[in-house]
Amino acid sequence: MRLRRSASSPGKRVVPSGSSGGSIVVAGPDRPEPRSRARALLALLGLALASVVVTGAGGATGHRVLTVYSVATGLQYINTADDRARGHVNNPLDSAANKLAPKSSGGRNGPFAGDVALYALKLYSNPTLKRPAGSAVYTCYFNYDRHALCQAYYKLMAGSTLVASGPVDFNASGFTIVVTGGTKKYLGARGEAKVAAGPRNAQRIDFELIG
Amino acid sequence: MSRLISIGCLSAATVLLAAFLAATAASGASRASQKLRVYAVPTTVQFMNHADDRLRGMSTNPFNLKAETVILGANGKEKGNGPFPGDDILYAFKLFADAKRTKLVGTAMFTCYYGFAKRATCDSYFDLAKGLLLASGQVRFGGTHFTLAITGGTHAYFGALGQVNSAPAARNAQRFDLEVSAKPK
Repeated sequence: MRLRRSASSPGKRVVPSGSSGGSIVVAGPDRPEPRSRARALLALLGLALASVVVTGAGGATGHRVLTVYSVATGLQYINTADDRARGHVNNPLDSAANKLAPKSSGGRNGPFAGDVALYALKLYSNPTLKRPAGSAVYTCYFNYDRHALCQAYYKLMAGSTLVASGPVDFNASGFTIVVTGGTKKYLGARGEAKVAAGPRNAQRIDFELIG
Repeated sequence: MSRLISIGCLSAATVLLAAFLAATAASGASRASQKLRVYAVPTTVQFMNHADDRLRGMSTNPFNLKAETVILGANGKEKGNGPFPGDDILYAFKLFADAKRTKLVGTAMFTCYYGFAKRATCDSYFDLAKGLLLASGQVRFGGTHFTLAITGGTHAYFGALGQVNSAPAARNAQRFDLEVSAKPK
């Protein structure tokens, strides 16, 4: 790497651009005046600030959005009525806690506390549901009033995954759960997955991610 | 001379400012930390006794175990009322802003899956006015002092991290101190 001076323009300064011998010609006097130095430093300051801002926006925040469409392909419901009934009779709870047992848990219209539902889903990248984008599994542990704590993982193309969990109200058509992590392309991701009714019996999933 | 000094100062300021901003960006200092204290009153408790599943798991399982003593550690018999491994308890709470329970600020749900020695891994969510918070961790059965890790949240708690400290409060309540570090959208 070497500095060279343009023969045709003595007033131009040459800045090395790499070891390949290429160079960029920059206009400027041979001996910069102090005022020019100050301007150059100000420009440098601006560049430094800009680069830091860009780095901050891209690295620390790294805001990303992703939309996929899901279609359920499998469902297994685990009815734990026997465990519930046994738990009412044989349990380690004290009398105060036993008084807080849910009022109705033996009828036919569940789901009831402790029941589990497992869903398998196929993911598509657009609403026409023609371009596969991966698969997903939801494991939902029911608590009260048709609410469940669902744990989800989304296996996206190229082996990247997203993991999410949160409450789901089965009386409503949509829900928002928390993205707690991911792998490969989504390594260290955090954020939200907003799920709403989509076209043709599908659900639209909008991921909003940072990290 | 004064020009040289000013140029020197400007250079130093440039370096310092850039270093400060870089450090700020790298450490994610834009996270807003907040503390929130709520008082939780249990409203519903459901115990799930999985004795039959445990028993079935002793005779039919995918492991090469000579079962009972290994699994239960008590010659194959459950002593006492547990909770035993595989049992789970679901706790629903109302959350109040004050110990006198005058202002309702949300609800919480704990699902605790028991392992050995009456210790459970509890997954919880706090449904608050500003958003949802998820927290998980180990809780001993009957224990009132425990700490959970906050693993995420929604809305105002987007990308949240932090912890929940639990301590007993008056009239069968629990006091939850939430330390939340969230990243605004």
